[in-house]
Amino acid sequence: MTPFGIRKRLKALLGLEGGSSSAPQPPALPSYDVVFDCPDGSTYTVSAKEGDSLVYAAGRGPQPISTGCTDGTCGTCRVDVLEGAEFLTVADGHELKTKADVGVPDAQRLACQSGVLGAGVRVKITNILGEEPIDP
Amino acid sequence: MSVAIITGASSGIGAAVAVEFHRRGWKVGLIARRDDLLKEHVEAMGEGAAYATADVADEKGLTDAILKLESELGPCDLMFANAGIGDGRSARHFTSANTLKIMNVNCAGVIHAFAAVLPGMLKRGTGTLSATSSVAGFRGLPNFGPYSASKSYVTSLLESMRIDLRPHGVGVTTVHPGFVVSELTSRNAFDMPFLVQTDKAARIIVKGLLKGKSEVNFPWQMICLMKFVRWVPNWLYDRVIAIASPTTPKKEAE
Repeated sequence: MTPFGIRKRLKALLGLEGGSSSAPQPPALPSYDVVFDCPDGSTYTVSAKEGDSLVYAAGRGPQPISTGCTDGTCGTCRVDVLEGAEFLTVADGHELKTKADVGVPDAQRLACQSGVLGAGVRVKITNILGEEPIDP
Repeated sequence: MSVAIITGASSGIGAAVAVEFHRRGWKVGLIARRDDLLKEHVEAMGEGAAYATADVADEKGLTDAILKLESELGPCDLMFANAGIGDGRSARHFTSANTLKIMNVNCAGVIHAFAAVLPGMLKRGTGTLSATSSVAGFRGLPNFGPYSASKSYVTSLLESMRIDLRPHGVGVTTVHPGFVVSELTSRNAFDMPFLVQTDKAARIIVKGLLKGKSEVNFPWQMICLMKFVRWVPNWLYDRVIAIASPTTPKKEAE
């Protein structure tokens, strides 16, 4: 205990307040299979929890998507949505602006901004981590 | 004529360093995954250049490639383990597979390359081991966790080996480049300060290697900055780097 709760006040001032340990646990999220087609012709399937981004899901497979910022600014992680576009989160204004700025076709999505909402999503990766980048 | 073997030689720093060594009269062995690019470089250089295709993450493949080049060119006098990958990725997207892929190239790639040539160098009592680390290895940079960690590994490994191998005639040089024009940096979604052209970087690296320096660090502005940042206390580093680093995603910093 510090007098007058100085430590607590300082932490609050600096934005260092940790999360409460008694916070209620969120319910378990459902999982959906996502299919990734790679530029080399191979395919792999990953089970993604609802809300997981395509970048996160692909990052658990053999050929992770190459990323530049993971905040939807660079367009490196763009993917072709082959099936199940309706089971991805809707592109927000930030993503649409980036797509327009860097010249990403309408049919493509930024994988870091696309959350999985249902089964039946199939995407084709354009840039693989550690492989030669493909120009848009 | 001395022999230099270079991994990650299909593009960027590796390809430029190979050309620079060849220009200085060395025999050069190029290793990378992309056969077509290696062939192109070797044909352009002409005599005294050879290539072998291998993935540095594959120990057997890389060892076989080095043996093939040594039988063609002669024993390796200088190994430049340069192959590296990496991308900007927030820790929110952290996964084992993605991180290990970077480690398998940036760390295991150096291990396999050194393990293949070191016994020969020790036997002959001469040689140089070198690898490309990065200024990103000086401290953990936001959005580049696995990459920063892999380069810290390279820096520490080479520093330790340098002390062990000095009495045995084998020199060890760590290369710490800042941002250099290459395929790897072409993906960076931010303005890169003090960006160095590839051929200039190659000249600096080769000059440093031939001088037997323990470290080749460039550009000096970036090195001064990062060496200073090393000594900044965590509480200050965490706050300042989150705002000031070009590698911090704009949206996350808000």
